[in-house]
Amino acid sequence: MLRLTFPRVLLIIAALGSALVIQSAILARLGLPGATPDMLLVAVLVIALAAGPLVGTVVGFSAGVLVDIAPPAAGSLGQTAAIYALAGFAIGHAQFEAGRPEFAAVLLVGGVSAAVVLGQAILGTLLGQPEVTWSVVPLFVVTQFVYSALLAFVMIPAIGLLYRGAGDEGRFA
Amino acid sequence: MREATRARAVLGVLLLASITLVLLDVRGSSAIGGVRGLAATVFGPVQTAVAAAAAPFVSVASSVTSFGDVGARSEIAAQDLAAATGSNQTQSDIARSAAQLEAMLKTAGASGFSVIPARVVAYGSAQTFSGTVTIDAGSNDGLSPDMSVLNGNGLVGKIIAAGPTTATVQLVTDDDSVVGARLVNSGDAGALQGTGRPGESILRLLDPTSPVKEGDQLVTFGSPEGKPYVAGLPLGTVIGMRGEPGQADREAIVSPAARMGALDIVGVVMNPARTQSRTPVSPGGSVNPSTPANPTGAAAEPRR
Repeated sequence: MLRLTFPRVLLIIAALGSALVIQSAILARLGLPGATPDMLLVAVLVIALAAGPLVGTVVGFSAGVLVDIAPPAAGSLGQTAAIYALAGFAIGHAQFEAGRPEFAAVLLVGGVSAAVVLGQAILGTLLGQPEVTWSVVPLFVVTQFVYSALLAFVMIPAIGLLYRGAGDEGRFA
Repeated sequence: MREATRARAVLGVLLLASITLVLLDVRGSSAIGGVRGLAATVFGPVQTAVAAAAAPFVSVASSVTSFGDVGARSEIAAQDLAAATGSNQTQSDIARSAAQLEAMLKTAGASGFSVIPARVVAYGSAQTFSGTVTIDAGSNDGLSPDMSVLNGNGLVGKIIAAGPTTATVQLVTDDDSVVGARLVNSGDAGALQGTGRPGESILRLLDPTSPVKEGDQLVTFGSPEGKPYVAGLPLGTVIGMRGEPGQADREAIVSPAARMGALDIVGVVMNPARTQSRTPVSPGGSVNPSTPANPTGAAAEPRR
């Protein structure tokens, strides 16, 4: 099982921060159809895949708090944190070798991301957002699956490299 | 498995922490406001820098994914510039921004507002159903919450939070946004409610029997002292109706005037409150035919 060294924690924080900035300042402005590609979530899932449910839960929660407080967020603080923590916990149980974009890992990241979109819509409705438009939720779920799977192809090797840079040979599972 | 047990325990603790945070936030804790302010201070400048660096790429990509309503004018300007300088995407991006700035200043000028121009540097995710964006001007530029934000097409939204160098704008399409609206033709008043979808808001009229038809134009009703919304800005066009005339739940579907998917240059209204001394008007008095009729009496104010 992966040990959390100090440089590795720094790298995880850097990866999450960059993913959030790229997502809000570039990806969200492209006007792609359906959901907005969620690079931060994919980073969380890829880290959780390599590092297991415990790290996955903590990284997911931290990333969710980041989403909830960084501008231009306006939702309730804690909403995204709960969903991302659950997602990191769930995907952490399926452990893959870090750095290799295996087909099953890519599909799994896509599937969990799609489930997160559904979870966000459900939680939004429960927390009383007045008009979560359920008619577009299926489109969001499908497009998010595609975007996340594509991002996973790139980010599994990228985050694998980051880990290796932090002093590892590339196998953590 | 020890690891699995620990993971479950940590998950439980963090879920409880999330619920606590949600409850604190709903009650409006000042500590959470402080944390958000800190996050705006840290992330705002980074978002601004990344958005500026990626601007040419984003502008090309979004003109592919949308239908580029910037208008023939900026297209021509862009072509001229590209021809003059050797074709390059940055030039067309500058031309597009220049055209948007000009249109925005025209909208503001028509209503006599002074505005602070700003650029949209970050968007929220579509799947959160909240329409919020970050702009690259903040409290250092004199911005504060509840100021109106407009662009060349009309009302964009209002400021809900201001960091030092960036501010968060709640778009009129946000599902928490409600804007007082008035139909241009009939003068009927209502409330425009966002749905979280960029091209579709819901108008509920105060009087459900009022005649509304497709194509009717809406302007903002306006708030006291122009906060949060100034009066008379284009708001949108009715594109469909739900319910029969007279039904209490009758509503009109409105396409907002500003296209929220392609925001770039916006303006923040700084001086909406035009306090004018009102001059009494006596009916039957002689009217000078050379002065145009002015129902608000603005022209009657003595000039020094």
